[in-house]
Amino acid sequence: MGTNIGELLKRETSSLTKLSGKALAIDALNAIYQFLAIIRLPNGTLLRDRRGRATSHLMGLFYRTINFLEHGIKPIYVFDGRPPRLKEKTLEERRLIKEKFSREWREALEQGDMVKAFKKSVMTAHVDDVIISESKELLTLMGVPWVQAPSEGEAQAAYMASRGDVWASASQDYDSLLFGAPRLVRNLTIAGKKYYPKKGIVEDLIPEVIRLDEVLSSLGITREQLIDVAMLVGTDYNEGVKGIGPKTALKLIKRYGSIEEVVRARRIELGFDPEEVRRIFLNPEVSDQYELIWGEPEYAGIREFMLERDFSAERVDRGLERLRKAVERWRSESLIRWIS
Amino acid sequence: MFRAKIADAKYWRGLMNAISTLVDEATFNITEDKFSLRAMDSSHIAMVDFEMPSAAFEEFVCDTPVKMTVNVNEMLKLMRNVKSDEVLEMELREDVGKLVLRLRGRYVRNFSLALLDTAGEEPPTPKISFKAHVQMATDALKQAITDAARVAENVRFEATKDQFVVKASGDIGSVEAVFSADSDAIREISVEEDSKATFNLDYLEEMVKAATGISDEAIVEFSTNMPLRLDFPLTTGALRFYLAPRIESE
Repeated sequence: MGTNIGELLKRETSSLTKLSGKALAIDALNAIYQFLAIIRLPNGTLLRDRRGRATSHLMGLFYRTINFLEHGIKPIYVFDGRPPRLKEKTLEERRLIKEKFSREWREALEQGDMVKAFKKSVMTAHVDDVIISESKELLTLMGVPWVQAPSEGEAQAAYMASRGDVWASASQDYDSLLFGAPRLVRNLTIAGKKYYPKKGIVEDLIPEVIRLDEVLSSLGITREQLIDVAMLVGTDYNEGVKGIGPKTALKLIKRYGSIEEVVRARRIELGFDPEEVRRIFLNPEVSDQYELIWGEPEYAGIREFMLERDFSAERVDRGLERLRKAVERWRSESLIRWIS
Repeated sequence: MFRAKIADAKYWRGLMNAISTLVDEATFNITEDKFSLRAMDSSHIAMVDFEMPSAAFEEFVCDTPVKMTVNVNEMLKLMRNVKSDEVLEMELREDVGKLVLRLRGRYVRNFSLALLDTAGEEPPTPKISFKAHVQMATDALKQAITDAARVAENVRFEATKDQFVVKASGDIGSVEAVFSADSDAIREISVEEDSKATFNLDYLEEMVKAATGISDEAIVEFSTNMPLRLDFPLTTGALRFYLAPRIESE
């Protein structure tokens, strides 16, 4: 997903404590996919209620959001809207990959190989309208703002960050940097661990911050050129050029200045119009119709919502107690008022 | 160079524990005549202001002022089993990036703690003129706070000429502790102007709990909708907390 330019990007390690007090625009679908991928039973089955509805995403969203609030982080979830036309091919490919993994997961289950089954299952996470509307409903009950992006969520998050309404965009993908977010926070929504299905290992994940200005100055290029680098490697809106990885792409763009010049000098056949892809990143469809208000949670409403989906009352109540404490802390003034 | 010796290691752990209620990475300011720290919690709601003059130590050597940053929670982990009759020696070893802790009791225990990078400046103390001053027994204050925490997430402090009231109410009920000027728990009440403010119990409870073993006496100072100052006088030195008031919507 996104674009594979990670190895070029300078980053600094951060932590939930260091992010305290900051508003972060979280890529909601990205977070929900992670919850659906990881929060599973050992054989790879999603958590479901008695009626068969998936609940992994609600579990993740509920506890992780409480965790943010406890650390004084102000989360805003940004939901994707209609994808740009150029993304259709990527989406179709993703669907096919999921089908393939679903088949392999079933086969592994039939063979009784649970380790393999889990590995395959995490690649099958699928988000539908119900999952999205339930997620929004839970956030509303929790008093946490969410924003409906007209198109790409990361573009919307980047827009909000560039306006200074939030401190950073938070996603695993790097696209929001291309969309112009001054800062990107990664490894935020997964609870400290990342599961690598191919290797079958779990690794500790520490939040990290990538700053666009530092990336650009360390690479010695402009944002437009970073977009060109990404296009050579491949983005959600275009296939990359075969045989060109991030390092080569950077070298080429630095030498020739732009993707058009690289194509001319190296006689490369592009299967896409760079100007069209560039436009998506530079002039994305965004909305300024959003309000960032963290309201009082509806405790009884959350409880009812969760219990209706067969969450344990005891655990939900413990969560609500943490939420109550976290929200109460927010109601304090800042000492800064009396210091400066 | 910095080196110091404290007669009661457990007392020192208590002080570090009080600091740890607000900060993880603590930057201590060490000069020829004192060991101090002033820091806010990450949400900037509370501040701890701690100071121990060199005279409070058995031995104190510091030839040039230095800042030392350590993770206090890690320090507390190392000191989990200290005894009152153990003597603590600290030595800053900048050459190897460590703070060496030596506990001398029935035998010698050596620990070392990694030094961290010092980031940021020490904040100034809040400027407030307090209208209410209450000098009282720490355990009585702790009891009032603990009671309040049973029913609510925040607590109201009210002071009039001869009375200090701590009250809280929540869904399950309400709690009120009344300290009149002549009650046993009170040493002195002086109120220039009737004052009331509400504070977060999560912070307050941790601060008062941590201070209970360190100082028998607490000085509570506040004004209407202004930050609170909790002063726990040390035999030699000072431990003070500041806590911002709750935003009152009504």
